[in-house]
Amino acid sequence: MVTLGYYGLILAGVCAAFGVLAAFFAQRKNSASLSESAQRSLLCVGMLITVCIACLEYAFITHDYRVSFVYGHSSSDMPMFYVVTALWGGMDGSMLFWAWLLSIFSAVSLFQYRKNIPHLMPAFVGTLCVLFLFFTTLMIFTANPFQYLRMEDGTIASPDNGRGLNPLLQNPGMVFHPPALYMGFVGFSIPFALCMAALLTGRLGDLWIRASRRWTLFAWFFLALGISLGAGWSYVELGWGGYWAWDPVENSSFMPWLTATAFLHSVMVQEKRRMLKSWNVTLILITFILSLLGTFFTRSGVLSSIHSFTQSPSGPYFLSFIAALSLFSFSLLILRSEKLKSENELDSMVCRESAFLFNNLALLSACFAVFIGTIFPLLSEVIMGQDKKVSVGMPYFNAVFAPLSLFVFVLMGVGPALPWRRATPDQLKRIFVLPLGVAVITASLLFALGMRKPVAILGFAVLAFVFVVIVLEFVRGTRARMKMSGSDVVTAFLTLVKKNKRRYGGFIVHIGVVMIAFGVIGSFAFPKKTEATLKQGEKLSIGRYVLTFAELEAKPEMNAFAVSAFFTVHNSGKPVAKIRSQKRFYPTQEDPMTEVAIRSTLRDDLYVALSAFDPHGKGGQTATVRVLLNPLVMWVWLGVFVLVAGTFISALHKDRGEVNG
Amino acid sequence: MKKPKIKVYVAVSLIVGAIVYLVYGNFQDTMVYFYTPQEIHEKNDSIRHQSLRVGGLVKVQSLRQDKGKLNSTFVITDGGYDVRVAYKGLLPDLFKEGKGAIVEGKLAGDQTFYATNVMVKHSEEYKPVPLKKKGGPPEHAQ
Repeated sequence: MVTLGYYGLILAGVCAAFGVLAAFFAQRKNSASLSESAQRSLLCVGMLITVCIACLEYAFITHDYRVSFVYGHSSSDMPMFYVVTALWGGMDGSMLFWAWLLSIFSAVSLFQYRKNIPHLMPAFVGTLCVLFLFFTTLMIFTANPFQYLRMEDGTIASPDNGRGLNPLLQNPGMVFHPPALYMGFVGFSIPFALCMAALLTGRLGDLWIRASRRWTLFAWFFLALGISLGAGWSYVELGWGGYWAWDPVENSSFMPWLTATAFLHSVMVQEKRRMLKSWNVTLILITFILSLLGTFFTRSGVLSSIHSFTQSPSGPYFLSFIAALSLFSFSLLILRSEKLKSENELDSMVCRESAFLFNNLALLSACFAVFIGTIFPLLSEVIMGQDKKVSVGMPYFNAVFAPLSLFVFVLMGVGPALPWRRATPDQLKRIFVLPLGVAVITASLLFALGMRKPVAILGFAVLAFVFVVIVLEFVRGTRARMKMSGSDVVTAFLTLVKKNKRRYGGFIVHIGVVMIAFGVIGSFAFPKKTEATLKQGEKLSIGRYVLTFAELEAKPEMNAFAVSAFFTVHNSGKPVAKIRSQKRFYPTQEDPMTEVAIRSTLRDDLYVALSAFDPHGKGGQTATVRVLLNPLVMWVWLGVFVLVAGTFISALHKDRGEVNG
Repeated sequence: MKKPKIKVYVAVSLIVGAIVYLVYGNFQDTMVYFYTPQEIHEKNDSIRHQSLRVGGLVKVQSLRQDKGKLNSTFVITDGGYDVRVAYKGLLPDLFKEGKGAIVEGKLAGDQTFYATNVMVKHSEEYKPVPLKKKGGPPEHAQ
């Protein structure tokens, strides 16, 4: 099976190469039969990659530890669920997984578009085949998942057990986090291929951009899901009490998400007003390049140190491909810029187009700021030498991101409510007086209640503003529909959303984002933290909670040995819960893992991490704990659900000849 | 038609300017330099009371903690030079003598580095207990 997988990979590479050639000549000679054969070879590559991934999965399930990758990422004592999913637990398997997702997406998009946009198919297929060619050669030469484990003398080793997967990664959140991220990263390759096809052929009509919008929404959605799963995992599993640390790996998935968000907005301006065409092309290209970069960053270890980059041969290869791709695609964009001229000009400063323009500007600068912060430590290491490291930490990101996101949120309230082209003072008054009033009241109320952090006060006020604007949109729409059809509130509301899925789905996504921001401001601006060593029966108070240490308990659990510390929790004097935090000791791992206890309410999260324990301390058992009170965190997760719901609603929208704004 | 265009250009350049200022200004304020214990000794006066990071190994048998484990002192070493570190708060779980650690804080006049943050170097790649069984592969077989 291992040999089959390896040869499957080589064959897939050959097929992809043939696909590139066939597509090239199909375009050149305008030949339908060659285009057909390029498409067939694309499907063929997909099938071969599927065979490969099945082979690797087979090796995992049968515990074939002769395979280096299987040996390095699984062990026989792991639950089968984690063995199966260990496939994407490392670089080599992830690359294969990437390629496999790409096969599925390209097959689906091929069947979607080959009838509708046949003239773009050769270039589209060709671009995808280039991507396949890159990933297959990458795997064959530098990151081969089918490589045998060899002893020093070159014979194949066959150990009894594998090294196991890092227990930190043995968590459902971490199992679905990488695939969701990859669905996002890989999903952007379809808009990219469509865009390249349009650029290469010079046929920059409307069809391709509409197709790209759908795929971008799809990828954007999974990226958001992946990012949230990662945040959730970090919160429950890492035990430091937060969910977002501006870690380079987090940043590299956040950056394409920002640019994709920008695209999803500016594409509306192109559809409605035929403006910003080259800007949209730029956004698609940037998003895909950032996705490739994200894949590379998350898997190569380059971000921890430039040193690890030069150790593996895949690093330079990956980076040269990204560089070549960017150079080629952007030169092409410049070459075609004549055909991408706007057909309209901006009519006024206060209209939806300009709000979207500024929103794009802000999102892109946010992306740029994150990029600089992520890449700068690396650059300084390259330029100034190994030991002259610089770190750019949370303070930088928070300081830059807070004002930028305030700006974005203001626009989020203003933009969708404004009419296209031009807004009259009367319209402005009608739309914004009430929300502005609510925002001012919110701010003064918070100040009166004793809140003294200007950024937080401003943030909450802006969120209130956005929220009221959106609610008013719903109210106005429902009222109009009630008047028109004479139906009751509920039916009117439902038909309103049903008739304008894209617009109102979008508003629901906005509400989700507002909820997320609400939680983020609360938990970033007002966390409480305390640490202590408690004897049995000793109390620790944090906010309205009082924590009492009850007892320790030690027993085996799953594939680990767990020491649990139990605590009773009192809320304003009343007992509300008994919680436990654990230290887990894994036989395959040197250091124990912490399982935190979290008690979530809409108001705040009580977060308890057992840091150390002593069963035979003076005066009985002791437990050393880190306790945090994180306000409003639950709103982040609730917001993600709302965002998911909103995206579904807006994805249900079908493009008919004309599009509802 | 000309007028709004100029306004937009002005607005765009104002925003871009503000953002560049924001990024640049915060870079200056929040960038933290990384030093080795040797450099701390060489630059001693010039970097005192400045926010910085020191990385190295936690010297074996240098860790002293009070009973509640909330106050610790230890020594970070690069083999040749030592830096004495004081830290208030719980040390991270993976903190161990003989292992790598990075501390962030300020060097005070008494030659003690007062850390506000202690980080343990831990890589994404997971390093388990080496196999000791006979017939097992050598540790770096790949």
